[in-house]
Amino acid sequence: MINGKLIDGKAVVPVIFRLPTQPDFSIDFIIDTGFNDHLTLPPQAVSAMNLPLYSTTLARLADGREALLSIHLATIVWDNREKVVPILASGYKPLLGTALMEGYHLEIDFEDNGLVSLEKISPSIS
Amino acid sequence: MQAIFWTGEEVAQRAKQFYENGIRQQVECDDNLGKMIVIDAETGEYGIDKTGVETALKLKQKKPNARLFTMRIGYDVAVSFGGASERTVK
Repeated sequence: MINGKLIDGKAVVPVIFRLPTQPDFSIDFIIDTGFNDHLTLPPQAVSAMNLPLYSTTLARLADGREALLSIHLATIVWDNREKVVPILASGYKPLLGTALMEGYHLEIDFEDNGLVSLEKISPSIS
Repeated sequence: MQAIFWTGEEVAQRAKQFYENGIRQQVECDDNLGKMIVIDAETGEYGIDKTGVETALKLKQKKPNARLFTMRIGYDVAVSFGGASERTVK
């Protein structure tokens, strides 16, 4: 289970990064259900964290424009498990998208400091 | 010019050429729709998996300076913000 909070009308959850030769640290990401990949970080953060470049991809921004974005890889700790995920260098706020939430149930209390939680969907017994 | 000097636009253009001239017919089947394809823009070598991470790691391991391009099979763009992507294959 991952817990976050509603801050300024935005659902925010922490993501722990595990980078080589560094202690773990956490960054707050805004949950964006209109974003279909894993995570974005602003380009400045990607270079400061020295995340290796892996690929380039074409993205459609919310206003319909297309942009080439670079994909970097990072190891995160997601729900107590290590996971290597693509990080898109884009925008100025860290976003968490639907690909990372696959298999999870999202709950948000839309009030100041409201509870945000992501819980693994239990496999249905059939 | 060596791939290491290519701009992001050049990488995208060359990878798309490989896709249109041969890869597309081989990969656009029901099983693959929505998966990620990663193409080496220099050689046309490619791989498919759910997030593209596995393939990118494999291709980079073979060739650390490979310039890779990621596409989502059957969609106009791999990544969208504000829900703005279209399926191009029915």
